Amino acid sequence: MTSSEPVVVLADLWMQPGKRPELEEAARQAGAILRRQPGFVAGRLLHFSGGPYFYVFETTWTDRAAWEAFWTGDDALGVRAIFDSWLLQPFAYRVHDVKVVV
Amino acid sequence: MFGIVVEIRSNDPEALRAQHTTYSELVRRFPGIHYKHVLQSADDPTRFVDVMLWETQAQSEAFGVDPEYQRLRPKVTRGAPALSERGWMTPGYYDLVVAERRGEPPSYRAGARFYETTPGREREFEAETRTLAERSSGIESLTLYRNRGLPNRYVLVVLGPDDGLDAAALEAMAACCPQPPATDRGELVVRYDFI
Repeated sequence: MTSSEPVVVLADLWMQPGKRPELEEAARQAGAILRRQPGFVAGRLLHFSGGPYFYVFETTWTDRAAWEAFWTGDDALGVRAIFDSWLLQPFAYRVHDVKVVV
Repeated sequence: MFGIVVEIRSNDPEALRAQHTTYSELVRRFPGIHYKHVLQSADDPTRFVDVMLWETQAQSEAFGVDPEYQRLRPKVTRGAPALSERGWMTPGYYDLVVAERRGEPPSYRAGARFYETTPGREREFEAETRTLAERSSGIESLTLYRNRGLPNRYVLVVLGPDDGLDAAALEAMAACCPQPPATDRGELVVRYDFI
């Protein structure tokens, strides 16, 4: 069964040392692809305050079906390729159902 | 003030010392650097702790992407993982919480202690560290850094002999933590004071 509730998708990004400008530019390029996706709501690149190498890329989708449509399409591969050049390792997604908005 | 603490493991301490001397000569040309110290653990000579204090995070990050540093970087960061063997972020970004400097003669005895407080006891821990700074005689300096992203994680760096620290205050600090601190005691092998 597919939920019609929003989902938030997180990706932990471990940056190659010294590639901060490149990674932040990659997030802008990924944003251009994501904004074309049906059901995409918003995205943010978050930098962990406690050290230089760790980022979280957060995206919000109207529902799980919209996320699944993106994730199974070619654009998801494009987003991955944009980021992976600047990372220590390929990233994995974590999908979260929104339960309470405060 | 903005601190960076890096835990480094190297099987070639002499090479690491030489690399950090070159690295320090580059660092000191950048605006905003206050000091850089590298501590080699006496308990485990392959373990090093590199501490830098900058005026701002932006100045530190400008250094981090500098092309000359990029050429040097594969050497100086060799073997340094994103998480240390203790599970600490390295390099880590820190705020300066307590800074005590004395007029004692320069000492190359040094110690770094890594504390993780019981959540909610951070203010108490910091107050006990201030007490430690007030009561400890015979040390040259004592600096407490708090991680900017994990605000119950601290690094205490002391220049001077361990027996110069007030034992009761150290005990009170440890009581704020679920585990004893991880400790590196040893010698400063690279020391640049820019202040």
